[in-house]
Amino acid sequence: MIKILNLKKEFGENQVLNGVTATLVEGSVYGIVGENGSGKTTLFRCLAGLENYKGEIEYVGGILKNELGLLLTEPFFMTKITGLEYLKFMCQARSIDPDNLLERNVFDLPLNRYAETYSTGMKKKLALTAILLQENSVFILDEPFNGVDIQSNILISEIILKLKALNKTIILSSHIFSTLSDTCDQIFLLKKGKFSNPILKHEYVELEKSMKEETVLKRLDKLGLK
Amino acid sequence: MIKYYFQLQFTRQVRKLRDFGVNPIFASLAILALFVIGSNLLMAKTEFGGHILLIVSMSWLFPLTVKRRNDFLKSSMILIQYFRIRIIENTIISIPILIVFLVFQEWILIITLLFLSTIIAIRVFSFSSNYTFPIPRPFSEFPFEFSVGLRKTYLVILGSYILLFIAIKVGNPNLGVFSLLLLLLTCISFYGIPENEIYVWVYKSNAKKFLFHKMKFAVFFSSLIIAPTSIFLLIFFKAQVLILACFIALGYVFLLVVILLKYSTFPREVPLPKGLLVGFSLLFPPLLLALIPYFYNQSIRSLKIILHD
Repeated sequence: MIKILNLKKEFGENQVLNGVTATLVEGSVYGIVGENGSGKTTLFRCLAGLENYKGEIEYVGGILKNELGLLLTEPFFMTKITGLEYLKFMCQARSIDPDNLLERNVFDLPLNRYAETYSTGMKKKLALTAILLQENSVFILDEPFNGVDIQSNILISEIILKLKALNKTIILSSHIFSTLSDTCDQIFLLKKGKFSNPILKHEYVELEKSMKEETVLKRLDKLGLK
Repeated sequence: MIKYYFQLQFTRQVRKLRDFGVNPIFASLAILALFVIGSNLLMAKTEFGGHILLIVSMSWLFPLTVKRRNDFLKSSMILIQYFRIRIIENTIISIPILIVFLVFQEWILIITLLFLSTIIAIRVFSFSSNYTFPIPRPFSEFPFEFSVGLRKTYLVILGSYILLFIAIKVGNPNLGVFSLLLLLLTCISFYGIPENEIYVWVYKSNAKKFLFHKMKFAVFFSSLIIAPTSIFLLIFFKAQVLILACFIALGYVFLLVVILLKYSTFPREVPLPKGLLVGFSLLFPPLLLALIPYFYNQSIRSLKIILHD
């Protein structure tokens, strides 16, 4: 279980997170939605301990970082390192000796090529494969569906549901509402640095409708398209 | 457009220097002074100084030929503007070395540099890593520094072996020691730039263990790289054993100091004053006695934050 209490983060004058509070339990998938720049990635970086913050993040079950699989929006790959070497490195860093790495290449990636030469989607799939091989208990997936082909999107959704069945905690962000409604048990709307009340499955239709009204109808006219 | 482009480049350089923690005016003057002294010494004291400077100028010009950068420029402006920009920036970069050649009346080198600079400006050389065949390396995935480093510097390493071969053939121990130093410096360079923080964060380890793990592997793999050269030098230049041992020992010490230096400010890059301090300790090695524990403590502090130790 992860307890986030009154989490605050600012960059100079810019208060990005302003009292985020939530309790995230095992065997659940949590979606985080918010506009670009609303603080989703900052929240994930705080949870991973990559940013200093005010407030509390408590993980029942040890050191969160050591149990956390973090998939960033743009995974970073060192130059001159092959996909296979990356997977081995990520596993060894967590003291895991994975068997049959090539057989577990679920996305059929060309693992003997340099990771830096992969396309955006392939890079995301490689980074996701790595954190899955690490046998983590908690997963933060920042835009896992972005730039990935439709077949892999379906597979990623299934992987998320499988992780849930294995009693893992999954936190994900996505700008594709259908992927969230398919996988998430609850959705948090991050707005002005705070979480909304958790939105449950039966409220998703209403959430999508209200988001559409707010973000599309009110703003489209501003463009003055001719 | 062209004027704004160069204004932007100037602003970028100033910002880079500021981010490095130095005053841009002071840094520019210091770089200029170093260049004037260094190039003068090179031209006056060595037989092939001009050729070395020509190679140096190429090392400044080639990074500007990266395909992605040039594709971006080409797509952002009309072709004639692009070529003008490329020729002007290559000329600006070549000016310091052209002046040196002019002072020493190296007319052939002047023409060669002008010719190469123009050719490089109008022709895009693709040195990007889009080829798919990974260069084999004799190391395991631990530590990545050596897999990545070897693939980036294999030409330098091959060059050092060629130098060793020449040193043995002509019976020149100094050249042999130089080839060894080149290898040691190459190994040290693998630790010059901090890796992305995720590559440290991901470790399930504490700060002390992590640091010793890094140092242990650095010494082990460096030894593998320098072993062939050291053995040949010991066989062919037996009289130089003491000097060789001193260089190797000093090389290991600096390797460890550079690792400690890198993690002392991790994940930020090492600020210039700290780098200079290590550079100064090359001239005054007792300074290392103070620097090592200082950098060690700072490294542990930085790593504890990232590793949640």
